[in-house]
Amino acid sequence: MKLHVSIAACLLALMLAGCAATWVRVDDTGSHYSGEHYSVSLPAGWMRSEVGDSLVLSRDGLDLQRIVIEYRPHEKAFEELEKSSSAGMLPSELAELTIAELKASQEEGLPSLEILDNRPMEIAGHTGYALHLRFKTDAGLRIEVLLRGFVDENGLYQLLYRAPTLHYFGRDREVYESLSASMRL
Amino acid sequence: MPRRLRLFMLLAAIGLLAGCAAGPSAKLHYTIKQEPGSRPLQQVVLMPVDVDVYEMSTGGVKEEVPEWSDVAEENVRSALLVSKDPQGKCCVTREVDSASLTGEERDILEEHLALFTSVAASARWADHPVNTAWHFKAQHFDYTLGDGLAFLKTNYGIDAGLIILGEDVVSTAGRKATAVVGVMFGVSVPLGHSTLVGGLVDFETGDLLWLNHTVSGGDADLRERGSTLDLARELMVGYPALDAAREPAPSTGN
Amino acid sequence: MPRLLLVFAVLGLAACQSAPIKPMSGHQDTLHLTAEESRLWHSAVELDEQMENADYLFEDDELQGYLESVMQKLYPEYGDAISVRVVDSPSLNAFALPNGSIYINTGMLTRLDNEAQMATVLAHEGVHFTHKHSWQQRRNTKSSTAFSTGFGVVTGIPALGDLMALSSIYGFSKELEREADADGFRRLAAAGYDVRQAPVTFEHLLAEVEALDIDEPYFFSTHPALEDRIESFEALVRQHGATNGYRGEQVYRMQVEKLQLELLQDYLELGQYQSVLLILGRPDAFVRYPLSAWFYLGEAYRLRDEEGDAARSAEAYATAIQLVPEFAPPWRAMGLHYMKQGEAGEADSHFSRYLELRPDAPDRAYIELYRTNLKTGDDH
Repeated sequence: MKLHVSIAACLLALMLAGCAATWVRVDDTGSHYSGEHYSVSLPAGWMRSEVGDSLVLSRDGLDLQRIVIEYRPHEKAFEELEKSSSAGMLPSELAELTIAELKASQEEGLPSLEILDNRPMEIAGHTGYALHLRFKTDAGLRIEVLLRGFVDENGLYQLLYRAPTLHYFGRDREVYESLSASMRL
Repeated sequence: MPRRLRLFMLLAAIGLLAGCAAGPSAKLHYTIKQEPGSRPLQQVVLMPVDVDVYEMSTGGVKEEVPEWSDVAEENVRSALLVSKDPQGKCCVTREVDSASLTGEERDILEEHLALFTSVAASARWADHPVNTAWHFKAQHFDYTLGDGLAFLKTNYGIDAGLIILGEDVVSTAGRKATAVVGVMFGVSVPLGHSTLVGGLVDFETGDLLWLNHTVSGGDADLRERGSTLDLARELMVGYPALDAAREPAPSTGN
Repeated sequence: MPRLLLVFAVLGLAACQSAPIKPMSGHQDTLHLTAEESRLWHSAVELDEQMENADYLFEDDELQGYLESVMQKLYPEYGDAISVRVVDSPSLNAFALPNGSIYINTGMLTRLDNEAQMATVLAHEGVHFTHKHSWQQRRNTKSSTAFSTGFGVVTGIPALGDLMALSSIYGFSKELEREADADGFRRLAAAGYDVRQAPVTFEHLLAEVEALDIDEPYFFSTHPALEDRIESFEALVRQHGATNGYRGEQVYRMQVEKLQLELLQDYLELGQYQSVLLILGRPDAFVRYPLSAWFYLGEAYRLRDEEGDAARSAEAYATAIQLVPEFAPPWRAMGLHYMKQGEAGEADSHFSRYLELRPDAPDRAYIELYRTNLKTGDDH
């Protein structure tokens, strides 16, 4: 999945090549992001970075929690699967393709992927899907993921939250919920 | 947790793989920094030490030598059990007795050790010279594992645990010869290094009270007792003093 | 030549030639390891732990017991020194670690027709262990220049960044693989299997690799490796001249039946509908699947989404409903089909039946939303 690929690339770039992605601390009073395709309210005190068309947020480090918001045009929606999305796609079909894309990315730990919940959800005035996933890394650390997405006539929008089950997932989930609720096109 | 995963993540964060030098290393939890002595610790245990020693072949292939790892672990363990801070206090009161934990407790502990790696790697990454925007995190050091290990305090009376991970890469004679020939051709051939990473975790809150690492470019050897003691002393710089003065912990051989 | 390679080339000339490595002769040999071998075993044990920690394994005691009984037939003198584990992955893969842990994927197991074919794979992998191929390969390439660069980057698995994992999973040298064929073949014959099944094993795999243009780095998924196995086993069969032997078709099918539908589901979840179409496209294979396989065929057509596939999928769902009316998923699929066709009444009745059959459906919320939308005439 592109959300993961871009983050993996970002991590690799940051950690191994030492390249400096532009990270900016969100103001202590919070702030608003308004991009070409969507706008959201950003959580106070978190770090934000823009990687391509993605907005990446974290409080303590990408391994400990990350929120990624991404817009992709329909023809680039599911690159691993070489599949497009379309405005008329059903939310359940989008969820199905999202899971397939995620599995096809062969990220570490995905063989143990569990779908804890999969339901429709209203996001930014559009009906989309809301997935709650869990997997275990090779090191035995459980990671939980909330992944939401929807389509409009322009493309696919996805919001990801990922954190270790221990302590972090529960602690920062509310931030993701607020951000998700604040999203507007 | 597979050891090499733990170390790989940490070493990546420290910057060894990129050949970068991270900034000054010891970090103290902001509460201790603001008010030294504000986190009283009576019982601090040494968690099972995890050190991998590798042999690097002429071709640069790294392969763990389990018997060397055992020796290094024992050396690090002994060094930490006898190490004293500048006030003459010991680093730990005793070693953790994993056998006394229930199976479920051991599983919880194992997953928290895996989390420690992510937390320590994130903390080091935030402190990396290139990540200037994140440096405030190093100033206001508030990393935590959460309160999932509080049972160690309530059930066993342990306040905190010292987690030590290490890696030593020893070059073969062939590799060293390659380096010599490399110099003649103007090529730099990486040789070994010794690394120790230490973290002190308050079990009640999960707060990472202290985090440090030390890297030696090839002079140290964790298979040697004396060399290990020197590296361990270097690692323990900035380690928060324990409140209860006590006799040095016995260096048990188990 | 880049200067760094030149340095290694200069020193490579001095690499010493060691004495040949003797194969083991039984369980007792696993108790006396050299220091160098112990290191390899140590790495293998770590990989075993990793496979278990990250839940990569397909846990099924009955299947496990069956695989171990086959291994016992092939390698009786090794007792429990050789273990077999099933990896929950649709990839065509099997590999042996230097400590005697043999892994075989669910994807591989479901492709084989009988016990003799599975025994061919296990016997081949067993030789990699008994003949210490990891150690041999390691000794040959440890100092090589080719190995000195980009290892972790190439494999993408830095945590497993050692020779043991690389050669076990991605294959050994041609000579060592041929040795595994020849000695494996002898084991197969000694255990009374129909050795004529040996080349057939790899013919199936090759056909699939070619048809699907599979691009996996695993040994049993690569075109040249499979062609070499076929050639090698055909020659061995000719030399042996056998005309009969045990195939164990029925017992094998009973054991792997439980994997079949799960594997089809795995493929669909991975978006690999081509594999489902290929597997079910073999008439001799389709008949071995439960009747509910019609549903998976329909799903594969739906995901392929080429011209005429909507009708093909609907036909397959309808067949599934007709043959297995109590099986819920085709009712849901047919409901979605009708909904897209704008046939609200049919869609709703199929959704309704789906929820009746599966009150705890994990996608109940979606179906209820669609039913509401059908009533209100909403798009979604």
